[in-house]
Amino acid sequence: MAALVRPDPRRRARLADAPLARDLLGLARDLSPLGRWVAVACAAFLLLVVLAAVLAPWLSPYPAQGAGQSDMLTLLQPPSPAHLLGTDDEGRDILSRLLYGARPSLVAAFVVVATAIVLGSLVGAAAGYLGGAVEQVLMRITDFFLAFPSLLLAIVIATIIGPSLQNVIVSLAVTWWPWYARLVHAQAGTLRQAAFVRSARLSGVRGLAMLVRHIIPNALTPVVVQGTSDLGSVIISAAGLSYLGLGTQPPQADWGSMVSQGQQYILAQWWYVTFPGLAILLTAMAFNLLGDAFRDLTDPSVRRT
Amino acid sequence: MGRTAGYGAYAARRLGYGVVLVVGITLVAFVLTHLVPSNPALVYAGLHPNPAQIARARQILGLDKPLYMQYLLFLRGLATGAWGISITTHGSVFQNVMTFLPPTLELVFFATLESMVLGVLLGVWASERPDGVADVAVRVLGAGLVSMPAFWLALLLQIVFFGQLHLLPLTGEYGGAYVLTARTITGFPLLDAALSHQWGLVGDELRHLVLPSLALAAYSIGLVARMTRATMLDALGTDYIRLAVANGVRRRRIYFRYALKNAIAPTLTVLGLTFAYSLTGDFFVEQIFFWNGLGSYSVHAIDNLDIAAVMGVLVVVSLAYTVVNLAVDLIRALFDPRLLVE
Repeated sequence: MAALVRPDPRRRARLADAPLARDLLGLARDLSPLGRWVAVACAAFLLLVVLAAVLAPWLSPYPAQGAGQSDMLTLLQPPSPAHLLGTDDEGRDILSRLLYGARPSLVAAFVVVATAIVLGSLVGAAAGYLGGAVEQVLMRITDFFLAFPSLLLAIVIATIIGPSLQNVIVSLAVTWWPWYARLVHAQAGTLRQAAFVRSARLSGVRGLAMLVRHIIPNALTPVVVQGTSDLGSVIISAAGLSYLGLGTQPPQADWGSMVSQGQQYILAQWWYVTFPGLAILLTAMAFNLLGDAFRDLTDPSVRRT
Repeated sequence: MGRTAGYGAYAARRLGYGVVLVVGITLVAFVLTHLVPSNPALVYAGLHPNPAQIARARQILGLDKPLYMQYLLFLRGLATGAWGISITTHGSVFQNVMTFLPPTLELVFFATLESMVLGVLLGVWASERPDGVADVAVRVLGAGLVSMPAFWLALLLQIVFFGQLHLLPLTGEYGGAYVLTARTITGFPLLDAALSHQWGLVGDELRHLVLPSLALAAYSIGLVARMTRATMLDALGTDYIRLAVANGVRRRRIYFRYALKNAIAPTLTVLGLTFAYSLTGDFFVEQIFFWNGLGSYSVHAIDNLDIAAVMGVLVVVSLAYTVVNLAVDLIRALFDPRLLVE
């Protein structure tokens, strides 16, 4: 009788084995029609933002202004057919600035999240798989970083290492990896016992190869879900850092610094801060909603009738 | 009986962990101060120093000592309030932080209060009919609020409520009429106004609090609303609620007495998180509203690359964050004994 109660090791291995693609795509039919529509709309919008960033020099009505050239004859003009979103305090076309400003935001978002995932996964997987003293040391270091409000720590690091886009990326990556370390650590702890990991170990797979080939790929689903939402959070955080003057330096366009430059004109020239802020909000929101859709797909406990 | 013993052990363990975290915070802060690209001994020795003067500066600053001794000296400095001199205010960083902390705590307190009250109400409202109009509205609003850059929302609020509607003041902690009568007793503006019995000033300060606290609370309102909605739906699906419905208990009573009680515990978990977000948002919001607190102080410090000041703020805010998280865990375990296990 006892044999019947014991969980079937094969079933367990299969669950842990579920590849990312099947988790995300195969279950797509589980989304409600509204949910699917929202997810598709977000993905399409994000594709447009990426295209806009890549093709900024060709799409901008005033590419030179997008790149920073000022025009003193068209200062602070309201939206008009010539300047669809108006102009800023140096006479530059805001639409062109927005298209160019998408570049630092997206670069920061993708590089920070990718770095955080790689670093966090390695630390988390090593801690969870190896256990013992290594686990203690790695996870305590992770905890230390999580003891700070993360954006605040990033602000301090960026202040210390100096203002630039690269340094914004470094400081955000430093504060973001611990979340992935914790996430992968929890997964790796369970995977260590899984049948396929034990058989891999028996057939001589060791060290980094074990982590990279077996542990991390199977812990990836929650990481990708988290990563999608985090792209949105990083866009907001990076915009915040450049709003404080710690990011991309003028005359380069950046959504965060556009808001800060337009701040003194809010009462008379509303369009100056409104459109860059809207760009941050919509892009971050699209990533967040897409992340929510992934979460609903992969975590049955959140699914509601 | 077993439960109280369990709680004591849990509290002791959690407290010990808190101490470990505080040590970790000081360690990270110490490492960060050593990352500063400039050589502090050169700065200290002044213009055109000779090698002997540099060596002397290294000695005075303790840079000739082994790293662990430097860390211990750093700890002693932290404990005794020797946090360095701010190059922005030319005053002691410790004293600066203590002066600017109370107005910020007042702002963050109101933001946290708003996020809890508004967030829970929105969440309960949404959970009444899943996929109904209110539910969709709250979900859209929630997704918008958690994606909203605080600095932009602050400016939008100013445009709408001051620029267009002329309803609320643009900046400051109180209006110009009170400049001469406002007193500093505790440092908390609202408390000081009440202590000196200036009720007109209290009202004026409350009006000045509305926009900055809302800008700070926005993210947390969205977070709490989504959290409450999800946990309410869980609670409403349980058997004892169905039984209450079947017995004809009134809806309002079911929502606010039975379901909310169970939904509130997970919401409490995010309290620490909302506190952290308010504190960080404070960096952006305060200088937009000319609020004379830690956020404005820090932004000036960042502009001047004033590392000592920024580090002081980081340490004090992180300690506050650790204390709040500890308190949340201890309170949660009081309500939910399941947390005591493990």
